[in-house]
Amino acid sequence: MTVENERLKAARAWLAEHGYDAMLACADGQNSFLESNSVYVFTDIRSIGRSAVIIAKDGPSTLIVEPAYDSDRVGAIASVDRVIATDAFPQTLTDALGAVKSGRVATVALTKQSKALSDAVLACLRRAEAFDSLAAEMARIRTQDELNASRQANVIAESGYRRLLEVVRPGMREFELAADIYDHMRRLGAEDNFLLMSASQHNLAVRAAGRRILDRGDIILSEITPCYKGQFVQICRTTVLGEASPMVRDKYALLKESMLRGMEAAVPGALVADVTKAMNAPLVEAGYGDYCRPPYMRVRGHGLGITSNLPGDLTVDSTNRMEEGMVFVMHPNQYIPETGYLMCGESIVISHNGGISLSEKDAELDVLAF
Amino acid sequence: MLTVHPSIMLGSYLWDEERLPRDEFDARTAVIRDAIAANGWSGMLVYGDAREHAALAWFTNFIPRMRWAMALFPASGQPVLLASMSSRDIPAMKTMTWIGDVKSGWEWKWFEQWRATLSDGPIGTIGLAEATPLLWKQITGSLGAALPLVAADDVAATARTVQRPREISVIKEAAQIVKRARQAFQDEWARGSDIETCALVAERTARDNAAQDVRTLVSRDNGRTLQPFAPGLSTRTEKGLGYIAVKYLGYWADTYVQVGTEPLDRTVEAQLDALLAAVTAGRPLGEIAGAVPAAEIAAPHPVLSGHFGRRIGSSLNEGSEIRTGVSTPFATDTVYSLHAGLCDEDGGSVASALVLTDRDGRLSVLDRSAGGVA
Repeated sequence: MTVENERLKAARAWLAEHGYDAMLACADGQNSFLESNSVYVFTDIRSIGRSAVIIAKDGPSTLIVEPAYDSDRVGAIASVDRVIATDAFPQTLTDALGAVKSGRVATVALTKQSKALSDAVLACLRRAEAFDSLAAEMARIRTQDELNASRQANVIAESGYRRLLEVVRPGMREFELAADIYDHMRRLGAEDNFLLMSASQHNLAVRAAGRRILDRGDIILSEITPCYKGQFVQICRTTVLGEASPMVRDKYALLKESMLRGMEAAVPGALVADVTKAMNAPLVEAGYGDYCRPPYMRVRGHGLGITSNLPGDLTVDSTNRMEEGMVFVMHPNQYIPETGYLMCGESIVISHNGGISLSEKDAELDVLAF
Repeated sequence: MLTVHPSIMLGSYLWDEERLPRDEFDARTAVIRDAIAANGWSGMLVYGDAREHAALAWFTNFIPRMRWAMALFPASGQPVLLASMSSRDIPAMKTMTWIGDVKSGWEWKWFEQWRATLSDGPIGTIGLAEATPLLWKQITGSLGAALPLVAADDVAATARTVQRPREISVIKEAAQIVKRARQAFQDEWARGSDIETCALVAERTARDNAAQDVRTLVSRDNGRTLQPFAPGLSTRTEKGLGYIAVKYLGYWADTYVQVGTEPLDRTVEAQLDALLAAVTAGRPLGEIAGAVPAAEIAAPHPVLSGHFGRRIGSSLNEGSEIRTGVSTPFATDTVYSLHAGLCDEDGGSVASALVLTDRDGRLSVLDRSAGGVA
């Protein structure tokens, strides 16, 4: 007998409560670390290609994945009644809708699929309504297993950064350093990694590794984002090769102060906008208020896929609230005209009295003498 | 071959102007200018996202690391590239393309600005069927009835049927990297490592050789199925099978890798030999597939999805699958990835080769998977 996961059971309850006959949740296979993968939320499956799960209110749950060759793996893991692996995804999906076609169907993330697929599905559903954030809402509080996976992912991230400190040398190319720490984290179990790592003497932002040859005077920025058992975490670090100027040290202290204020403000019930303002405050007080916006920064943090991206982006416009058990990254990463872009960030879990960093050692300005 | 898409494209994606100079892209985008002129269109929109971007990359060298991007070509004048990234990230995006005017797609005013330069008339589109309904709505809302969209995917498909000399040169380099990665995989197996470690070593080898993207799959059941990386596994079976795909400067090469020995290996190698012997420029792909001797001892391997190869280049599957019943001719000056594979209850085996035929009919084998190692 199939053991459905708790969120699939919650989806059935939601269907009953709201008067829908079925739910269709989709994922496009892009594995964005910034978004909820609704199929993963309900089935524990991260598909190789596109995927969809059909949850009938009073009937079976059916998972459709591509490609066909992935049948055995998915069948062994998925918490659903039936798995169909296919090389003809759109046709198989519309066929599998079967009896629910005439019912009232709640769709999740269908609007995030290609128009071609979305049109094909909608053409055969008589009554469909979109609830694109439903999976993220249902998964916004991490389960204990998920939190344990997040903690392990953070252990991997910190180990990755320690590896960077061990192996980086003037003369290496950026991509060689990135390859080394990526490989190191893979061996520790990172199934994916949103790894940005780049250097400049005056960074405008962090970017993916290129061919630049590292040298003394470079400031290396790294955004290390491993995924372990479906849980992404992120740490942001700044490393100076050679000597750090007093100016860089002073400005980095501003980012650390911003981080501290953000963690204090991130109590359950707090508005994300207020947390963001608390993080901006030290920078505003230091005269960098005009820089607290793109292109000088992006956001002060964000949710982490692939279960739920809530509380969403940490911006002054957000109307979301912090809730105990949410996990996200807080990062007062900032361009400062005197120093260039600097990075400082941790993955945070919201506790009853504020944000708690998942890191054993929070970000410091690391200076490596060469 | 469909593989797990990473959350971000790693590796060096900078535009390498020495290998793919501006005049190369002038030649490629000439087909857009010609199509606009021939059809009386007002402009052309080329869409791509992190998963499907072959046409966008072919025209612009730009590969979306995440989300989407659009190149907007007017009937005359220079194009604009919109990338779905923050304005903070645009300086880094500019290093990936010859297009000078790169803007954040999150600021729709840039699309509106492009639209304002156009006279009324249809807009040709390439790849736009992959865009989300929300983006479609935004685009059509801005263009209005005066600038209807017309699918022009054939323009890119036709132009890309034959690979250009510089494309082939880059694919040859990618083939060398994949060969080194395969050798590293086999060497690691010979040292007694589990199959997951072999794949990691292969990945690392490719990344150290400046690969932009590396995809690996491994078998944990004597070659019967292939699966993506998963944490905590350490599998050492009698027979191992893996798949390695490497992207270099925007172009893919791939290979299967066999380790250990399997009773099916000899039959599979014979099938690949027959496939290579059957390859002739201009010959229908179905005929080539038909030349592969059927194996009564086992079924075709499921990872091959019922065909014996396809074109490879800007994407892992450029179409033209070699399967029964296909009348499309085998093209010259285009790299194909060929494979033969069998599977039974005890295990499976797949062999592969990268090949190219020139206009004089000469067949070049750029790479061929070696047999298993003990």
